[in-house]
Amino acid sequence: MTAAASPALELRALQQDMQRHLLGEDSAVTAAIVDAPPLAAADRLAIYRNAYQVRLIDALHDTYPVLHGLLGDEAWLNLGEAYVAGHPSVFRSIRWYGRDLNVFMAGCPPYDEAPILSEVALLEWTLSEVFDAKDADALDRTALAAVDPAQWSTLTFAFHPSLRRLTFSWNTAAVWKAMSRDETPPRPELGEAPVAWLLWRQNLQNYFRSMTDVEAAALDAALRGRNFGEICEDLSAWLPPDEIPAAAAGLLGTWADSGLLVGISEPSA
Amino acid sequence: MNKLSGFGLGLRTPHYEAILSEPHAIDWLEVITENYLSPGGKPLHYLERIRERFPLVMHGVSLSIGSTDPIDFEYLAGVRALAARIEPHWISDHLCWTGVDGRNLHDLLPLPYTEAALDCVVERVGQVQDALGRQILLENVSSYLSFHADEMSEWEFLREVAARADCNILLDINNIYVSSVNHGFDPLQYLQAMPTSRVRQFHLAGHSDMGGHLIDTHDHPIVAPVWDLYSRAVALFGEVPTMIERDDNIPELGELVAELDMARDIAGRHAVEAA
Ligand SMILES: [Fe+2]
Repeated sequence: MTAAASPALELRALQQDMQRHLLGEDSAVTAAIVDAPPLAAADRLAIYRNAYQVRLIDALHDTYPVLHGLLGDEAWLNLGEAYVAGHPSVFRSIRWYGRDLNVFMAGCPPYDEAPILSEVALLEWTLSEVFDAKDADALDRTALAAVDPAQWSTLTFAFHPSLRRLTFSWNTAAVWKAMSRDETPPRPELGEAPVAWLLWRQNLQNYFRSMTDVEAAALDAALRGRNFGEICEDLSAWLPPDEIPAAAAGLLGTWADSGLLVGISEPSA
Repeated sequence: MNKLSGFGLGLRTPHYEAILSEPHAIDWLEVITENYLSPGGKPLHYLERIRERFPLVMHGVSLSIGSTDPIDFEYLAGVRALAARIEPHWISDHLCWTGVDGRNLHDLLPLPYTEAALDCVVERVGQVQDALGRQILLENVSSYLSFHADEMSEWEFLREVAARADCNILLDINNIYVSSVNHGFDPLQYLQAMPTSRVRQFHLAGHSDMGGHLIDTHDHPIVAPVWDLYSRAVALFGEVPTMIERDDNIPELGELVAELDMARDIAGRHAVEAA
């Protein structure tokens, strides 16, 4: 850069300098700020710097109320400060801030010593995604009944955009439920095997429930675009062949009742 | 588009049901643009129902018109699509910057009031108005610092932006008052410098007194000096559509409606002076 930078570049340099200050990085911006009553330049900048941190931690609280409750105020603030320090926002709406909190906690002491915490964070983040995911009109059971039986084996299925699949190793959902009802949560407990969970929105309401291995296998296959015949093949690892078609059809009916099914397609010719 | 008039509130989530179900004297609502750029679910569902009953205006918080980053046309396309869906009377945002280098500090940061910043903002307002296919309103922000580089006052800067870019003004009466205390200027001088024909909306809000300086917290009722300044604004500009912003410590809807009645009362008494 030449000694006489263009005015537009000077403005950019000033903004970058001020932003560095607000992010807690090295900055010389204080010298550019008017120092006059009622406040010194440093105090004027401090208002913005504090507000930045408080605002982002408030946004984290809005998404992670149960995690906040589990940690208590002091540990929550420590977590918030540590996360905010390493994660400047790149989001239009502050509502999207905090997406990576579960990943951050899983890899950062002391939070990694209590792995259930990062599962709770993942659950809360995913619920926030379910809350305002795209809308779609759900099909009911009658749409399934209307399908020509000869077509069944080649059908593929489309699901509600709010559907999310999670797997928890801990009693995360039980802890979340107790906390969100203001009850004492159960002690963290590692399950015998990881459990598949299904989250979705129906009539503007968020829901989640666990799934059996059979249901999870069928749903995961359907989500990958496997047709009904292929889904049945995938279930042969769990069920005797003669039980499979009825079991798979039963699951489709259950998904339809929950507003999860939004499309049934025959293969294009 | 029909003319918007009367007294409104900022639409806030805890009031969705009360807005729809209770009788109240709210003439129109202002919605935060970014809260409805999400794909679906409850926010958009309620917005669709509310817009059937109330005139709306859209108020953005992330346009960052004063930033030196490139303009985000994808964001503007989203704003335009939302506007096509809910048909607001106008779209406003703030005369400020919110971040550079792709970052969003989620704050309304003051600009240096220089010719260079003026050129930058004027050019960008033109691009934004072209992309949205309509004029926008820019709002004055509360600020806690100013720059040695300043070549003019905030009111001169705002007036010049509006004149050169041909945009309108959302005058936040509380922000003028908060900044006047924090920077030691005369709030009346600010008001008197505003071009009457471009002032299309007033904001009113409460703030926090930190003893010596003020913080624009939107978590308290409106204070007497701001009501006084509002009466002067009405006398100068007439019955401009006025709304109350409350973002924290949000009370029952009825409490805000009662505060809105105070604005109605003051406007009724002072508007004659402007006629
Ligand atoms: Fe405002």
